[in-house]
Amino acid sequence: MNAEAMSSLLSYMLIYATPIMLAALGETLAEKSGILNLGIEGIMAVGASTGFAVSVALNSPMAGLVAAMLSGLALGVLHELLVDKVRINQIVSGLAIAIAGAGLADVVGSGYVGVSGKSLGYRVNIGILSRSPLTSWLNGHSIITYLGIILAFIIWAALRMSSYGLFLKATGENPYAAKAAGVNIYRVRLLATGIGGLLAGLAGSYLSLVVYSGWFDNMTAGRGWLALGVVILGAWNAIGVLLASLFVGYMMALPYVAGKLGIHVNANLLQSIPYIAVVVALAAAYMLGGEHRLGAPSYLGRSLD
Amino acid sequence: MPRLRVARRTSPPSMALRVEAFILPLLVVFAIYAFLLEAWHVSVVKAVEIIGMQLASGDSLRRVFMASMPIFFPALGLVIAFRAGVWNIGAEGQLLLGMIGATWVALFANLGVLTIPAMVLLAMLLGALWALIPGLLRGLLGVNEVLTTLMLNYAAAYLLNYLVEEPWRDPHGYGFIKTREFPGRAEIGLTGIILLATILTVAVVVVARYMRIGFYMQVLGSGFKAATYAGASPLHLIVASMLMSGALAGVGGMIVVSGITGMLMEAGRMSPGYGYTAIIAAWLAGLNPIGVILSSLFLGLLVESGFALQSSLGLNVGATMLLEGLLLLAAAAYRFMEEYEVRVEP
Amino acid sequence: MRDAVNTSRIAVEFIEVTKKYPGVVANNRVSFKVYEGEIHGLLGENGAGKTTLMKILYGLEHPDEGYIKIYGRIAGHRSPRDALREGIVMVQQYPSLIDRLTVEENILLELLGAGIKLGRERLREALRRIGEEYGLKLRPRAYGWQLSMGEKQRVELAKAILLNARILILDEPTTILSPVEVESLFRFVRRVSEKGVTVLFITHRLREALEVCDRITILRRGVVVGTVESSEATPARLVEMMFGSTPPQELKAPSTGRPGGVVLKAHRIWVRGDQGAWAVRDVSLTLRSGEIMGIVGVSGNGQRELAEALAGLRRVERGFIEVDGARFSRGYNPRIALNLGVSYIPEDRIGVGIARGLSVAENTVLRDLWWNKFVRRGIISWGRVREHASRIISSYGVKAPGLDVPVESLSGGNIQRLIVAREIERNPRILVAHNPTSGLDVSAANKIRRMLVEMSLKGTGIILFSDDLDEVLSLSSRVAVMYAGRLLGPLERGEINSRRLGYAMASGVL
Repeated sequence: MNAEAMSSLLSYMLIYATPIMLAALGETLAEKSGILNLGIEGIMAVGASTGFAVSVALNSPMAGLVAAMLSGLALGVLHELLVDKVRINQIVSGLAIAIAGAGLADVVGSGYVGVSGKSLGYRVNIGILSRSPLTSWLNGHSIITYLGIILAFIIWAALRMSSYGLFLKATGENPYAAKAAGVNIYRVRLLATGIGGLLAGLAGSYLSLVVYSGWFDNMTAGRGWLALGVVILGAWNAIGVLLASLFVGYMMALPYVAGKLGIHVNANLLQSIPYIAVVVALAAAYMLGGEHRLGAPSYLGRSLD
Repeated sequence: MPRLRVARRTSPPSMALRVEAFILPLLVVFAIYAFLLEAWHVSVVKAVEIIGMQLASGDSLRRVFMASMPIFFPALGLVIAFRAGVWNIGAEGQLLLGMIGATWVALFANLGVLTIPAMVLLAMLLGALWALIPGLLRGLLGVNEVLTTLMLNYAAAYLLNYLVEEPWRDPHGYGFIKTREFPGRAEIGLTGIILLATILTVAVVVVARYMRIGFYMQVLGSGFKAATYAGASPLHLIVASMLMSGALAGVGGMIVVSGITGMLMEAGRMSPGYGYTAIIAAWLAGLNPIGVILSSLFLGLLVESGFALQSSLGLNVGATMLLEGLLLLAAAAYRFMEEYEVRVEP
Repeated sequence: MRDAVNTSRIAVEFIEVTKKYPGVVANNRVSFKVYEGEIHGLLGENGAGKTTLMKILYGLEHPDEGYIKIYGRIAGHRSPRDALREGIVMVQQYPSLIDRLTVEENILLELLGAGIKLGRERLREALRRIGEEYGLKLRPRAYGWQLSMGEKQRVELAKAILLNARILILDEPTTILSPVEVESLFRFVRRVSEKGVTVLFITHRLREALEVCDRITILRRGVVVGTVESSEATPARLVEMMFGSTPPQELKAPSTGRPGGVVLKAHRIWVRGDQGAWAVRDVSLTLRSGEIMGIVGVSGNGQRELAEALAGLRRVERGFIEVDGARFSRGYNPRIALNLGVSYIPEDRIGVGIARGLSVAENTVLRDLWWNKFVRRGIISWGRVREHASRIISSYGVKAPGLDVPVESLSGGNIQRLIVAREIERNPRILVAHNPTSGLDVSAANKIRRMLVEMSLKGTGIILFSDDLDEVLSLSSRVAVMYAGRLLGPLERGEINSRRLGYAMASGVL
């Protein structure tokens, strides 16, 4: 493989990994608090279409970005309320949000199909990186990508060292013990799921404001579900999630450089690779450890009584 | 300040209360939906009129019925899986595999009068095999089936797209991405569909209610330990429920290619998410196989109305999905109201 | 008494403490005193009221009558958190740490709950100091799931020090420990008592009580029998106090028919508990048709795991089980057990014994659809099932509003009746019964006992695991004792009496 193809493969990897990374990091927070949010796919879609619609309407991609995050936050909070207040099964509530969200996104975006919008911009250019083909792929991405990577390290450190991290982990592992220790577990769950939604919304707007600068139906194309797989593959560890999303990003990037690499296979077959890869990787991960050993929070998916 | 307190019911709710618990969330959902329609400048009155029109003529009734069948068969299978506590969210992918199987028979096997039965069988087989993968992964390794079934939905769509784009593509299709049109022997009629629906509904009722395996699947649904104690093998039950629901989803796919489109096109044009709608049908029916008939017809009506609303009022079909998601919440809220009571405390 | 004991200061005083639960008096006018710096044993068999009393002291339960004085002041605490303010800390029998948090984090969380803020560095330092001072080996950075039960207990002990415990309650602390760990626990206990901490040591093991305690209070059926100084007590005297001085109760089993051939055999089996540790160690037993073999022991000594292994629910890791001549070193499962005629009444009736979402009628045949009695040509005859269910309900006195109501809506006692009825109605060759009468009223319990005897007369071999010594004595022809995963005995008729069994249950020596 020549250096140029490799460099563009890695560059695409970062682009594809970014939304998955953001959504998966957010979902890691939610799951650490014990709440499984299967709605990520729908929240991402709402973020993408809302973000784009607001960006066009106000002629400000930044406003779109904020709107996307707020809509994600709202849906994350909704999920927590449905789960903890209305006591709907977490899987059902998540699926409902995934389905309703996808529909809502299409309705919101229906007037914007084919409209071309401004790109968010804020591309980071670090001169030193671009000089060598070994590092040039790292250069020139949207600031969101770099923020996502930094966020992974921040979350990792916070979970390991801060008392907020401790409260979060304790809530997802044993909410009753956490409560006994004075933690307001419902607030923790609300915050974690809300931030999780916010990041999923941000991930969606990265697609519509940075990658495509537009909106079309089914823009998220399963990235939200991939993010949920990435949380498991990353073993509920922020750095692990970062690496797993790079893995999935790599798999998603392959079809786009296949030609350069001399591979001529139907694009559809290539595009199915990441989904199959995640199934295989999940199987391998469970074979090695099983959910508990991997690090699934003990109360994940269970309702509080 | 008065507080709302949620507590588990101490006695089973009365029939009147259950009806109330069923209707109330639905009313709330429709109210929310109506509000949204108005917010999007779509007249609710007109929308209701258009939905009513779907029921007005024989022709449109037939379309509603046809739209409900690809929801009905997968939903029937999901009833089995969900009762066993197996979260098969992969009906969509299994349905697409059913289309692939049925299409292969229709285009490449000349079986005469046996064509339709062969299409059904191959559709069931491929749907079941597609479901077998997550079933085995869950049963043997404990891999969360929600994610694997979902991943395979996407993989199935890409596989189907590949088939219609390359090997099975109609060379005389004027640039359209589709297969040849099916020969007449491969097109199932209304009678055939009703017959198939009747046979499979009876089969599911028998399996779920009158056979050991159905009984033990339900035991599994109420707990792993209880199933083991009862002498059943959770692995076998998980795999069996996956195979059954996959096969029935496959039938749904067969109905689409054989009864509605008469050819295979790209996945996005073949299914507006029948497999996902089926999840809602199963839940709305309270996981009751007979109830699924009604819920599927109802959802079929919504899907058809969705298309009509798009063409006449310009409402994106996404609105239908939005409504479906809300309905799923309503179905879940019904369970909540059955199990819990909300009291206002001063 | 050791110098550490300060007899001039009374740390804890129980005054006429009474606690009633429906149907039982757990503590009946309990009064005694505990000195500062004393290691005070609390001895009694299952259900003597030790744990209830300590829960009251710890604020988890509230007395119906009477009160407790802490250092002369009437204690008003109503919760563990209040208790902590009084310096009272309890270490549970099975310490539970949060698996996915490190030892450090587990401790930090509880300290925060107690209002103590400590940085990680300072905590680490403190733990190091405690480790040296009290001989507690700790791994602050290890995760909860990586710790053995003994290590978890050490974490709890260290936590107690950090919480500045004045009064430390240890609930059966030795059941989860290896002999070496028991020694180091004793060293720890002596060490803290020298620092003025008062220790309440709940146990049912005589040797340990005599070895580590300064004084021992014996409870029997909720009543204080007396408080003795360890230096003056003998094992025989303690057993008498624990089980009563009435003439030892002899076996009064009805003459069971002639015990026939061997129907069930376990040969040197090893079985793991839920935590992965060995729960059953090298147990062998032989059951003949027509006999009732009792197995007694303080709960948690491996009875549940042994029962589950015999019924096929738990894997036998070493050794083999033989049912009716068929030998299984692996591959034995509940289905095979059922086919070979093994019925099982599990201890955990809600979690294991029923399918919670299903109806009463369905639960009466939960394990019986494998045969053709209710299934014809693969089709379940619900008519037959309902007949069966209504017969069971009426003849076993199961109170249910109908056959189709969810089984979960029945009371615990009625669920128990349903399970017992289902397992007996099958006419098994072998019955493994675990606490079959617990939670039932006297007449219902007696009815089930009579049924067990009748079954044995008809040739069923029965293994009766029971916490109720009287029940076992009145039914069994042989009795074995389980202690720390091992089976002692069985003793034959003529060798058995309540005192000897009680001694074995408390000491591990038959």
